[in-house]
Amino acid sequence: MKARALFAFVFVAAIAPSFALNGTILGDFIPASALTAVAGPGSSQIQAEATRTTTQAVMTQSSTLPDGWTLSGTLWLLLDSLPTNDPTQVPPDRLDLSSRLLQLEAQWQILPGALILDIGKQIIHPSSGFFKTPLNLFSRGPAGNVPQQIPAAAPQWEEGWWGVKMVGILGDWTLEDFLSPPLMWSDSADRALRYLSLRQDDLEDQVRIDGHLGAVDVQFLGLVSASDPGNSDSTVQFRGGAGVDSNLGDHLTLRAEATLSDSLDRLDVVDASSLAVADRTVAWVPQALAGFTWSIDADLSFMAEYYYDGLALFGDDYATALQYAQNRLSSASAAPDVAGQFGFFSLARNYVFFRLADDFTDRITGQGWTEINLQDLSGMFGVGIGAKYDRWGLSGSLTQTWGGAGTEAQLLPYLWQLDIELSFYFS
Amino acid sequence: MKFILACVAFFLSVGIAPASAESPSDILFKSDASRTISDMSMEVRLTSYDADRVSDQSTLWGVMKLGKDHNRLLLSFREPASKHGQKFLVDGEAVYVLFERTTNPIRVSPLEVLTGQASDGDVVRTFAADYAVAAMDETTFDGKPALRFDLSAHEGAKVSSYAKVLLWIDHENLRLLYAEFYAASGALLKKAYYRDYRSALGKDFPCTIDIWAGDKAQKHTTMVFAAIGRQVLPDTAFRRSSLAFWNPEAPR
Repeated sequence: MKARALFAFVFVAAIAPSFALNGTILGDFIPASALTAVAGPGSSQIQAEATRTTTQAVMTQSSTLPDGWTLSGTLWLLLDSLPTNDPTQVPPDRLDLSSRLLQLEAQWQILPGALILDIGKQIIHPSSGFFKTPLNLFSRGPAGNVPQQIPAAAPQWEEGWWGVKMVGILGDWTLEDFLSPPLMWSDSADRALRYLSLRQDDLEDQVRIDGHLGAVDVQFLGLVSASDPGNSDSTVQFRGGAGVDSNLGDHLTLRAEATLSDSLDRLDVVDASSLAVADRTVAWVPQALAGFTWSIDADLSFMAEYYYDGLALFGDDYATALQYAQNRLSSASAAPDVAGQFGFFSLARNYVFFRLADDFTDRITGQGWTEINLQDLSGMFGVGIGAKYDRWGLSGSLTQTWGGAGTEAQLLPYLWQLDIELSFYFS
Repeated sequence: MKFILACVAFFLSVGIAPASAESPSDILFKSDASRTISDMSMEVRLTSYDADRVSDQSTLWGVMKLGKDHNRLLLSFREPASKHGQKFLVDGEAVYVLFERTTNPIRVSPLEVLTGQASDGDVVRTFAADYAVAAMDETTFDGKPALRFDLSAHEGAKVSSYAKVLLWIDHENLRLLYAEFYAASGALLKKAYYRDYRSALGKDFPCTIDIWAGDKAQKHTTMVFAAIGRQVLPDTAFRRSSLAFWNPEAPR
């Protein structure tokens, strides 16, 4: 079944040019090494190695129709040997197949360039290209949870949200509203729907305003989320934020964005020894990013960013959560992953990120980056090199962690990770 | 009949030849205007060379809008397949790039290049609005009488990636022949040859621009305008937030 699905996709790729389709087939070979407990709490750890192999195939079609209509759609397929992305948890079924419609939308330019209606499944991603993106107020993350070679890159592919968007553009200013209804179904009775979408638990309404203030680009966002709307126990959550970016001369690009949420849920550690946790609601949570890119010349650039996450942990709470996570790892317990709720390497409140990137030639690029937890000074660094030709690309990256005992780096699911990626493009 | 032809010839000559009473700025403005097409749509083919070896090739579709203070340009990669769908907006000093799988354009440095030595601004470049004429001399270029302009960036200009520019303009027909672009430090960043002038939509347009790196003598990129047409898009189509809604079309 899985081999046939991949064969069908390769066949479609071969005939795609005849139908004006374009897309990518991308294979990742990801060996990694991790420390894992031999048995039970306090037992010794050994170094375990596992390789994750993923093959993603994506096909996109876009058609311009009369009267200002445009139709577009993106289909995605993934074969994954290690969906958990944890070399210490290799599943018995060694190849997991998933596929989904990432995006399917109809755009209508009601008043060309001034009033646009967008209906269907669409990617809502007001921020990208940065190490962290606080302005992505609701996001599904990369499709299939396939690891990124570089933290500051946009996800390779991301699943959209079903909804309706109305966009009005007047002069330098744009007003946009996206309304997304809750969509829920039974996994057993409506299995086919999983190919169309992940569930949408809440009603989401996001308003976005963007424009210029002099040479500075600004955007403001507001999001209202309602769980179980219409019922008496419905909860409503408000989030708002703003972002700015600008150039200072030809070499310096500055950016900053910040959000404030009226409440966010968090899983807190009650007792690190017994691995007891409790749900808690945190009021008025700020999250922010600020940074710059220095273009040294047309080929070489340096990027630095600082990220603050008010939902993540600091001080005694951070130390307790570290202790909990270490106990959980060493006991191979199925207790909730408190560190993982914030994302990958995101347990602390304060991080910095640096990246140096160079275009060695028109086709070959290289970069080195590091991400540092400012609270315990542990971190990760990576180097990568890539070659891209007309129809294919080959890239490789090596990521290594550092930090002593009692640091966040010790919680990562690997000591080092290599990622070799082969891409084939067709259009 | 001869009288009418003589009148036509007279007015044409007045239209393109630099009158002695004109200031250097006027001549520069007229040179810009003679090759700048309003609402121009285009197919541009870029080929980068390292010595004689082709190091990269790409094809883009684009649309340009003339503005009061600066021009705006939309570009989209058609080829290679690995860059297909990647879009750019050049809006004065601001350059935005939108990758195919994202919806949020990223603001980048004007130094970002399309490929090889060619940057977004090279696709359609004018000078009169952004640079002041420091000097103008009569000289020759490739054996032809030419005017040599020494330009310096206006303070507060909307587009001034280069502190200083030297231009050679054909004395007879005001065609831009050659340009050298310098950084504030005085370093030569790039030089460009403007060739293959053809009549397009009533303008005298250079269909080939050959751009050489200032510090890498063996590297250059040719920019060939394979097709030119007219496409009128509203001003609001040249906004950052509109980039995701732009559907590139072949020039007509």
